[in-house]
Amino acid sequence: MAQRIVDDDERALEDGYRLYGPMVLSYLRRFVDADEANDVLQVVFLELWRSRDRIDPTRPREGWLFGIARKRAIDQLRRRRPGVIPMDAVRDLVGDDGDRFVDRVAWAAEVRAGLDRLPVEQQEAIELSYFGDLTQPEIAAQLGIPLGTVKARMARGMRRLADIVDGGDLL
Amino acid sequence: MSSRDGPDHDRPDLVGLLAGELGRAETIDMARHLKTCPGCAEELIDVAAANGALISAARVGRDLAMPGFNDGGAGPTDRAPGRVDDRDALPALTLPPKSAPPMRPRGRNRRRRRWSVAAAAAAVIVVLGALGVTAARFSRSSKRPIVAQAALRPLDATRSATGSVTVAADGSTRELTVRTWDLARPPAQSFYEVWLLDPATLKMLPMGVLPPSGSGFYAVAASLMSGYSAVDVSLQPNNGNPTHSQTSVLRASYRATTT
Repeated sequence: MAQRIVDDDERALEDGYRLYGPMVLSYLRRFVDADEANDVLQVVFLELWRSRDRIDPTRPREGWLFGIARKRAIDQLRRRRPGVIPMDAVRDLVGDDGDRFVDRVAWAAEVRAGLDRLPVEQQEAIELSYFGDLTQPEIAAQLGIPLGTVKARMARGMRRLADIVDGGDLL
Repeated sequence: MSSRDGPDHDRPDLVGLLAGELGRAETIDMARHLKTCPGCAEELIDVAAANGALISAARVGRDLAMPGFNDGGAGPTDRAPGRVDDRDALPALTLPPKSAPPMRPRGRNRRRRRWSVAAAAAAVIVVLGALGVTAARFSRSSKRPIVAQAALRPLDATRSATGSVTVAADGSTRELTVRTWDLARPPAQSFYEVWLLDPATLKMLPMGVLPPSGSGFYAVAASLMSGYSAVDVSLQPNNGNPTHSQTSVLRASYRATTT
C-alpha cells in the first residue's frame, strides 16, 4: 500500500484511510473533542498524502502516521486557551510519555492491520481469544466447530501473524 | 522466522500453553518436550511474539476504545463510550488536486508549511468520492444482522489470495459484502467481477465489478439470493461481453440461511 501511495495512487490512500482512519480517530478523540478530531484526522491524512515522496515503502508506516496525528493534536490543543486544555490527556500526548504512548498505539494498529490480512477463519478465532477473552474450548462452542479445528486455526494464524508483523509489510 | 515445515509429530498446543489453558501435567510435559525439540522451540518463539503483540494491542485498543479490538465476544453494551465503531463514522476524505505536488522535506520555513486545521477543514467540506460512498455502504451493512458468512478461497491452490463474504439482512434485501486480500492486480483491460452461483445448476447472477480496493458491497433481493449458495469472483476481460469469463479466482460457499 505504501508503494502505491508513493506512486500517486489515491485509492491506496483511501484504503489506508479506511484501514487506519478509525484507529487514528479514536486516538485523536482522547485529546480533542469529536468535531476537532474529525478535522485533525483530515489534516493527518492530507499530510500523509502531501509528504508521500518521503515514504519509505519498505518500512512500516504506522509509527509515522500516528506520529503525525500526535503532532497535529498538539497543534490543535495549542490553539486553545490554557484553561481549557485537559491536562490528563496532555500527559499522554507530550514528552516521553507521549512518545511511548504513540508507539504503543502505532504498534496496536500494526497488529490490527496484520490480523486483517489473515484468512477470515483464523482472524475470527484469534479475535475471539484475544479481544473477546474466550478460551479455545469456548471459541469452539461459540463457533460450533471442533476444538482441534480452533487450535489449528489459531496456531496457523499466530505463525502467520508473527511473519506479517516481523516483515513490516502492512500499510 | 521459523521453518514452516513444522515438527515431524503432532504440533503441541503452544497457544494453549501461552494462554494458560493447559493443566499441570500437560504444561510439564510440554515444557520437557520444548527443551528437547528445536522445531517446537523455534515455533514457540513465533507464537510467543504474536501472543505478546496481540496482548499489547488488545490493551491499547481497549484503553482507547479503538475499533476492531474489543468486538470479539463483546456485545454492544460492552463497548466503551465514544468509541469509533466502524469506518462509517469517518468523515469523507477529500484529497487535494492530483496535480498538487508532494510536500518537500521539512526545512527552514516550517511555519508556512504547517497545515492549518481551519484551512484543511474548509478544503474537505465537499463530500465526495468512492470512499465516502463505500464507507456509508459498509456502515449500513455492519449494523444489520449477519445471516451468512464464508471465507473466499482461491480456486488455484498456488494463489495466495483470500477473502471473506458477509451477508447482512435488511428486510427483504440482502447486503453482500465481499472483501479480498492479496488479490493480484488484474491485467490491463480486465477486471474482477462478483457473482452469485448455484453450484448445482451453475446458474450465475452478476453482482457487479469488484472495486480496485478489493472490497465491494452489493445489494440483492432476498428472494433472488435464495436461489444461490456460493459467491464467485471472476477475472473478466474488458471486451463488452457480460457473461462469466470462465476464469474464476475465488469462491465461497455460504450456508443457505440467507433468506
